[in-house]
Parts: sequence; structure tokens; C-alpha cells
Amino acid sequence: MSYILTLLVLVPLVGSVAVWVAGITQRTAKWIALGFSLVETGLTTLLLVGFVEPAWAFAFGAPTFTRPPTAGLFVPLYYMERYTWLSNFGITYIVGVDGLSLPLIWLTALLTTLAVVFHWDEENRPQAFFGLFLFLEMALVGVFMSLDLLLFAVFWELVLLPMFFLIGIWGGPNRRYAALKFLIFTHVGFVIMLLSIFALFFNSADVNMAVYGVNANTLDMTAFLDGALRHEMGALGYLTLGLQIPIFAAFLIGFLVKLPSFPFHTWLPDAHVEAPTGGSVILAGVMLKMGGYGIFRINFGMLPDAARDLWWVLAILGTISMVYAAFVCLAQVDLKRLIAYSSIGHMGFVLLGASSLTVIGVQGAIFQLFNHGIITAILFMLAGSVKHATGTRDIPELQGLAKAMPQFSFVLAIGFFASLGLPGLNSFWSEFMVFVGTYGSPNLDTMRRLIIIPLISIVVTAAYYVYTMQRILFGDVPEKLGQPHDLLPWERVSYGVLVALVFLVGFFPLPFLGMINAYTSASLPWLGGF
Amino acid sequence: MLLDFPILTLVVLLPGIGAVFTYLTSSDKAARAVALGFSLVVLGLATVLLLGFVWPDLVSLPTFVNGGHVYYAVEKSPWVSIPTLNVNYFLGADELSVVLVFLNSLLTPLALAISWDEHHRVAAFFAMFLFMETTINGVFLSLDLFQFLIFWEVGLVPMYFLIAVWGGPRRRYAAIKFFLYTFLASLPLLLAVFAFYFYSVPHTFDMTEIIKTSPIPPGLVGDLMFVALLIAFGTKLPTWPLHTWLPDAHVEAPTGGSVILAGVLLKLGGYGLIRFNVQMIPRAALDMWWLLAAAGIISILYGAVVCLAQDDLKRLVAFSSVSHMGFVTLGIAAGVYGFTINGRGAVLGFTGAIFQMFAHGLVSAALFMVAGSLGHKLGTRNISELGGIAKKAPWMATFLMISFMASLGLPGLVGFVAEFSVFIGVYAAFGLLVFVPILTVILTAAYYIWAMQRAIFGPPNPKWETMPDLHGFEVAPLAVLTASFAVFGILPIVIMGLISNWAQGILGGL
Repeated sequence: MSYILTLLVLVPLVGSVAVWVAGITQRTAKWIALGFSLVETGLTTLLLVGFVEPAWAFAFGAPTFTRPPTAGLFVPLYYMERYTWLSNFGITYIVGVDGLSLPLIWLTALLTTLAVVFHWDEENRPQAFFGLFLFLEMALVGVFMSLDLLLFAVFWELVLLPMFFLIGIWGGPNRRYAALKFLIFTHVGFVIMLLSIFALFFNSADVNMAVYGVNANTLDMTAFLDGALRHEMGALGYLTLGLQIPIFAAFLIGFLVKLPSFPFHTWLPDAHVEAPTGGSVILAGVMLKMGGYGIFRINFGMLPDAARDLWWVLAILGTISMVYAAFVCLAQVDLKRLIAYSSIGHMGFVLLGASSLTVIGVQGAIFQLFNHGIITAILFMLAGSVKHATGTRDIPELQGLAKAMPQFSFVLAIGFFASLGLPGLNSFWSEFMVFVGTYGSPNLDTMRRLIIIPLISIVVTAAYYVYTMQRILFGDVPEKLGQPHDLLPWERVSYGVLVALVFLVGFFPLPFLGMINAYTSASLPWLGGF
Repeated sequence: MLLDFPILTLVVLLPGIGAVFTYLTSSDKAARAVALGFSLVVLGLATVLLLGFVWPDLVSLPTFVNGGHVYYAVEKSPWVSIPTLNVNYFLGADELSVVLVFLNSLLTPLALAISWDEHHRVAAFFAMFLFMETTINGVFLSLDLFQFLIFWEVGLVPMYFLIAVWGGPRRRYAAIKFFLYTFLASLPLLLAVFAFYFYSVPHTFDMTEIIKTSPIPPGLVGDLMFVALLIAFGTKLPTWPLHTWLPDAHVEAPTGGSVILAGVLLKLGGYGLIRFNVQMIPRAALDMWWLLAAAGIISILYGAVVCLAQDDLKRLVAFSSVSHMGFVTLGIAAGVYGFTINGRGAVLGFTGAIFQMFAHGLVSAALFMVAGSLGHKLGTRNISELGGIAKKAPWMATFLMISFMASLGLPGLVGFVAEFSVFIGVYAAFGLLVFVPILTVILTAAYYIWAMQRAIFGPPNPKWETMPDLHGFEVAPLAVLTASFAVFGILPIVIMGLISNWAQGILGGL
């Protein structure tokens, strides 16, 4: 059996233990952390490359999927590992990846490394700090690769723990409140999801029988994925609509809290403003993507009839998120809070694309998860840089940074233009695809012109970004700011990698789009084209 | 000789590469030299490209025919091709785009020349011009809608920075107004691209395919798309009532920026109207041409009347641009309408409109150069404060006069040919309606001559006792442009012949 995926979970776990045990000084702690996160990044990159081009998959073998024992359609999941754990309860350790999860896993590894690099001069309890990042990495990677519902739930909750501590201990002045709010919100969302998991478990016998020939309850996600796929493509019966809808709704609440979507978004601005920079980078860059991932893997993959019925919920919430967040951004004074709200807006795109129920819309939404992760990492790092250099993140107080910090300004300009979706850069592809999907969606039909409403958010987004950029960069440096230093060497490394990615993915989106396309055509063939 | 190297890729990407090199130079002198060098090379390439059309025996361009339309020097390679999204790297030229690409490639080195004495962050400044040139050439030569959008939107960035960093006192306001206004206006374009993709069977971004098949169904959808595209391109043109960003942008932009803005950027709007509104949704164009005509007439009149009241010379020229671009809109309307009445005036209307774009590009470039130099040297551009500069600065006065004459359409200069051809087209299509633009010519002459009288002639204002005349780097581009007024005024057939043939060809699509 393949071993790479478990390795991807073990490496950061061992790394975090190593940091906690052996990282006695700041130097040893950070170098151990960097070492393990680089190994993880290397492994995931090899995996990604092999996935895109099987001819280059020498490291772990070409990606192969595992079929279920019964004949019929199945959702291809690669590098699967299956170990029974508590078989009388139907709990197994199953992991696997495909075009949906692999970009996110790669992003997790990359951003963790860059976050560690960005905090190269962290003096406050570096041992615990770096250890928590690696532990967080393990949990996140685990979420994206889990194919057993309980394993998924375990990793999901495990993510909360290190982030709670990262915010609560290394955060800003109001960190206790923010950390607790974060914990309560996401935990309540999780508990609601748990209800759905139980509901699925207790209704799984028929599905399990049809896919695996075993008449027992199970938490195996592949059983549901394959069962749903076969049902959508005409074959056997599946969970009834009356059952799917409440399960869909409960899962959706949990994922909407994570995404986050209006109206469950209020934990995010506080969490971000108080979190340390690296924490924000992982929080916005990867953790929010758990919500999007969940919607596609579970809500769409396993409950497609409900998805077809409840698309309008996603559409409405997505549109509101996009428009509301954009307007709120206009009023922000704290740069980090502005970026936090812009994340809410960008995640609205994901919901909108998903709600279109078209292939191109869903592809755009998934790609948006990836693109936004890269861009928001840059943005939160910028907020950290400016605070480090000038002591403030208040937009009214910042001015003339183009003169004082030219490298910073260059990155800021690129980050802001990327985030507002300037064509040529990476997020234009995903935003364009989401809009095309929504425009052409059979759901909208004669109401096609309603697309104007989310389109407005684009202009408002451009407005607040260009306006903020203008205010911060131009003019003369005020006395209060003193002599701010430009980017530190390790900051330059992090920015360099991310900015390069913004351009590379903008010019050559095909590797990722190809993966995502393979995922949608194999796993969600019931989505409409137009 | 047969052109077998990718000339269009060079024309599009070489300025951008030049921009990177310029930005990385270590001294101001090197930056200027590198930038000018790259822009001259691109001008050379654009001239070769133009020769391919004007003198096919000398330069032979490979052709690509789709649906009866011929595109030259085509380059096409797949960029992203998954089943849901098929985007190609697709460049191609036809007579319409080659004229405008030549204009852009000519004006960029001239804009660099007029900006030779810029001393604030020279490398970045010159790099911005080259960056602009790439995006503008990219727009004119793109034959893939997605790629078109990329070049269209990215073009906002360098102009924004040119205004915001190197502009006048109110530059921050003008720059962000320009950016957000045109960004907002490009949303209808985005929407239209969605519609083209959605309605085309099979779904495609290929502009040549869409021109061939005109996939948009007749009726409300097409009419709405026409309006949407008119908003998008009309803002760039600019047509009344979407013109209000222009005076501020022009007044605050640095001289070189205004040259490119008025000389080329505005032509993106005209190009879009013809390529999209007329060629891609011809049925809607046949329905909605009157909207173009109305917008055109109002722009012509409004721009001219407002000019009479202007004191700031640059603002006056900005509004005269609004008026002159109204001719373009009216010419396009005449071209479309002319088609519906047995082809009378159809070819003439389009020919006039496109030649007016070319002519106005040359003329307004010169106008902004003079206005900019004037303001730079005197510290003011207010006509009421000028007076009798003819004695003190004869070069400046001469070029100002020639540019004014060209702009008001003095026969013998290019402006006359352009306006005359629009008039003929409008008369052939609309008959006596042509009196409106003709009367506007009188208004135009009025405001120019009056301005000239106050600024150049008359008793010298003692404030300007010691005013310097134009320097060499200012005379050179102005001389080139003035020469072009005469050349194309006397031999317009070089360009007009091309355009006329092209217009004849596209009428098949209507």
C-alpha cells in the first residue's frame, strides 16, 4: 500500500514533537521547525508534480486510484491507504487525495514553511510557537486527506487547538477574547456537523451494501461518495432527499462558519487582528479553505440531491458576503481588519461558484480557494511587516511608505492588485470562471442579469484597495513613523516565493486547472455544463 | 520578403521587456536611452507591419482567413485548454488594428522624447510608458476575448501610476477617479464576454469565430449587450455622458502621459466599438445605431461648447478631444445606418471614423505636447494669463498654431481629411443631419482661434518677459508630428485606402 500520505501527516507531527523536545534555544527551535516544514514542502511538491505529470512521479509511483469491490462508477481517489481501526464501530483509517485536496495540501505545506521563515526572529517562547505551527500543519493536512468521517472530524477539531493557543498566547492586546470567540464559534459549528456525521452513520448500511457489499454502518466517506455518484448517474437509490437536506444543512453550517460566510463570519476579524502574523497566514491561507473543501467533498460529493435543491442558499449567502464585506472594507481603519474582511468577500466567490452548479463555476470556486490562499498570505504578511517596521497598522497614520519602504511598497502593490482580481494575475482566472459559471447557470436562467449584484463587489473591492494603497504609499513620511526599515531578509524570502507564485499561476494556471478539471469530471459529473 | 518571425509577439511583448530593463538601469541617462531604444525598435517593427499592408510586394504577411475576414501575421497557441475553458494566445492584425498599432508605436517614442527632462524617478517613469505600450498593443492585436480583457484591464495600472506619481497638484484625486471610473466601466465588458462565451456554440473566446458566427440572438439580449459594450467603450472614447473622468485625468497627468492618454488610449474605445459593437453583434448594431449617433452628436456639440468656456489650455484640449471623438462615434453610426439604406455612406462612415481616430491621435498628441510644455515653463496654463508669447517663444507659438489649425480641420492638414470623410459619410447616410457637425466646426474654429489670439498674439504680458522657448527635446517630437500632419493631409490615401478596403470587407458581416 502507498505510504506517502501517512508520511505527510507524520512528518509535521514528529517535527512538532522534535521542536518541543529539542528546541531549547530560539536557534535550534526555528531550524528544526524549518527543517521539518521544508521536508514536508518537498514531499508535497513531489506528490503534486507526479500528479500533474505522471511521467515524473518517480518518487512515489504514478498516482493510482483504488476501486471499490462492486462494479460501477466510483470517485477516483489516489494514493489511498486503508487500515482498519475499530472495525466493530465501522471506524477505519482511510486517506486519499485527488485534484481537490492536493493543491490545498501543497498550499498548507508551503505556507507553513513561509510562516516559519517569516517569524525567523520570534523571541517569545519560540519552542512552543514553532511546535504549534507544525502541529497545526499536521492537523490541516489530515483534514484534507481524510476519507473516514470520524477521522475527518478528529483532524477538524485538532486544528482548533493550536490556533487557539497561537492567538491566545502570541496575539495582540485583545487576544483572549478573540481566541475564545474563535474557539466557541468554530466548535459550535463542529458540533452541529457532528450531528450530521451521526445521521450519515446510522443511515449508511444500504449505501455500504451497494458499494462495498457489506451490510453494516460505516463512516467511510468513499462509500458515500461512490454511492452518490452512482445515484446521480442513474443507478441505484441512495439517501433520500428528505434525509439529505437536514444533513446538508448541518454540514453547511459548520463549513459556513469556517469559510467564513455571512452571517457566521464575525469571529474572523477579531481572530485575525489579534493573531500573530504567521497565525493569520495559516488561518486565512489554509484554515478557511477547510470550509470550502468540506462543501465540495461532503455537501456536493456526498449529498448532491440536496445540493441541487439548496443551491440558492449558497448563492444568496455568497452574494451577501461578497457585497457586504466589500462595503465594510471601505470603512476600515486597521489594515489587518481590512484584509480580514476582504477574505470574507473572496470566500463569497467560492459560495457563488458552488451555487452555480456548473462545471466551470465549481472549478472556478475550487481554484479560488487556492489562489486566495496565496494572495491572502502575502497580504497578512504585509500587515505584519508594516507593524514591525512602523509600529502601527492604522491606515490614517501610514503615509509615504513608497519613499521609506520601496520593497514593501512593491509587494503591497502586487498583493493588492492580485487581490482585486487584476487580469493577468492568478485570481482573475478563478473569479472569471466563477462569474461565467454563475452567468451560464441553468439555475439562473431568465434571471441571468442578477449577476450584476455580485459584480458590483468587484468595483468596491478595487476602490478600497486602490484607495488604501494610495493613502499608504504616496505622500511624505510623517514624523511619527520615524525611519521605518524596509523588508527584513527572511521577509523577502517569503514574499519572493509568493509573489512569484502569483505571476506563475497567473500566466500558467494549467497544472492546477487541469487537476481541478480532472476532479470535477470524475467526481462531480452531474454538474451542468451550459 | 516573407515575414516568418513572430512580429506581433514582438510588437506586443518587446515594450514590456524594455520596461523591465529600463526599470533596472542604474542611471537616469541609461534609463532614457534604454527606453527610447526599445520604443524605436518597436516603431521599426510596427512600420514593417504597416508596410505589409501598404506595400505587400515589399513585405508579405502570412494570412489567416476565417469567415471571409482576413487576419494577418496571426499567432495562435493554446494557453489553457480544459473542456470548460479554452483560452488561446491569439494575436492577429487587420487594417483596423495595424493603423492603431502604428499610431501607438509612433507616439510612444515621441512621448518619451517630450518627457526627456523628467527628473523624478526617471527609470520607473519611462518604464511605465513602455509597460503601457505593451498593454495597448496587446489590446489592438488580441483575437482572444480573455486575452483582450487581460490587456485591457492591465492597461489601467501604468496610467494610474503615471498620473498618481508624476502628475499635477490634484493627481491623487484624478488618478483614482480615472482608475475606478474605467474599472467600473469595464464591468459591462466583462459581462459581455460572459455572454459571448455562453451564447457561442461551441463556447469560445475566439474573436474571429464570434465575428464569423455572431452568436448573440437578436432581440433584447443583443440590444442590452450593445448598450453594455457602449458603456464600456464609450467611457474610454470618451463619449458624453461618460466623459467626466477625462478633463481631470488630462489636466493632472504629466505631459507624456497626456500624449499617450489622448493619442492612443482613447482610441481603445473607438476600436472596441467597431470590433465588438459592430463586428460581433451586428444585428444589435443595426437595431441600436441611433444610440451611437445620438451620443456622437451630443459629444460633438457639448465638447465644443464647453471648450469656449475653458481657461486652462489643457482642459480646453481635453474637451476638444471629447468633441473630436464624437466624430468617431457619429462616423460609426453613419457606417452602420448607411448599410441599412443600400450601403450608401456605409464605407465612408467607417473610413471616416477610423481615419479620424488616426488623425486625432496625431493632432491631440501635438496639442498636449505644446500645452504641457507651456504649463511647465510658465507655471500656468491659463489662457487669460498668457499673452503675446509669439514674440518671446516663437517656436512654441508656431507649433501651438499649427496644432490648433490641424485640430480645427484646416484643409491641407490631416484633421481636415478626417473630418471631411466623416462629413461625407454622415451626409451619405443621414443627409442633412450633417449640418450639426458642420456647424460645430465653426464653434471649434471659434474657440481655437480665440484661444490662439489671446495666448499667442496681442500685447505681451510682462510676466513672460523671460520665458524660455522650446528646447530641442520638445521641438523634435513636435516637428515629427507636424510633418505627419502635412504628410497624411496631402497623402491620406496611404492609410485611407487600407481602411476603405477593410470597411468594404466588414460590410459583408453586417
